[in-house]
Amino acid sequence: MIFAFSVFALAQEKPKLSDPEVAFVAVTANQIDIDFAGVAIQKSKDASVIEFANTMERDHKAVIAQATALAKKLGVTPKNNAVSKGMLANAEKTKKNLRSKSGTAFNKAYIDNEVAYHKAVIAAVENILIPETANSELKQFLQNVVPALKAHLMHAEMLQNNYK
Amino acid sequence: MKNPFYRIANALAGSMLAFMLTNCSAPEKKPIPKSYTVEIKAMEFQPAELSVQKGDTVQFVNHDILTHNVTEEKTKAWGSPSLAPGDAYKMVVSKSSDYYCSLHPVMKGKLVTE
Repeated sequence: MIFAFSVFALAQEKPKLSDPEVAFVAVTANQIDIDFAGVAIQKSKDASVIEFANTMERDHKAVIAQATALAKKLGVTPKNNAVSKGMLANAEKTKKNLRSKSGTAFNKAYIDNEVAYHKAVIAAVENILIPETANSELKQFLQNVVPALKAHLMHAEMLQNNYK
Repeated sequence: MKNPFYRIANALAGSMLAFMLTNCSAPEKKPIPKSYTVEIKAMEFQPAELSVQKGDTVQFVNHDILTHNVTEEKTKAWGSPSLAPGDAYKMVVSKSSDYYCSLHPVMKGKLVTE
């Protein structure tokens, strides 16, 4: 949960980001969820949780591939920045927390984190990344990703009901 | 007085004519099957509900940024392979079905046969 609240806090602070920094944050946000999925695929024995994690891994990899191709086309070199560094540091703490759990406690923690994470990322994309992106193609790409993030959130909330 | 033979022949001819008019009209035309398209975009099937006739063809086209599929929801009686962005899947509709994307179960659609 610590991670999710940090991203949400960042969304409220509205840091100034250049397009190369926006691109880096977008790729980082996707990679973090791929890493969470990797932990779930390794640890969970619940078929619906594993299926969800596989979807997260496949979808976020696809988004990274498209973001990387677009950045190359636009001549934008993604640039590391304070936001992405903060996100990665918090993700490490979340992964450590997830790895310390097992069984139902793990499944619940993973799905709860996915709900919170997607809520936070949607807020960050809508309130920081899209408004601060100057390039129209990059802005459109981020707008196209939002429905996928919202569908992921609804899927996670559906699974969350199994662990109440 | 008319010959009874003619009276019977006339009655028979009338009956036959009536039978032909009522039962031997042109054969019923079967409707020509139509083709429809359901677009997959922004994590939705568009239109989400489609009314068709049995025998019509529906083509699902993935215009989204992610891979999807189209799967019958209740028993998985039919389904498409994975559809990468740009891929399409065509099927002939035989009955009403609720369907969804099994990769993203919040994406749902409905085919209604009239």
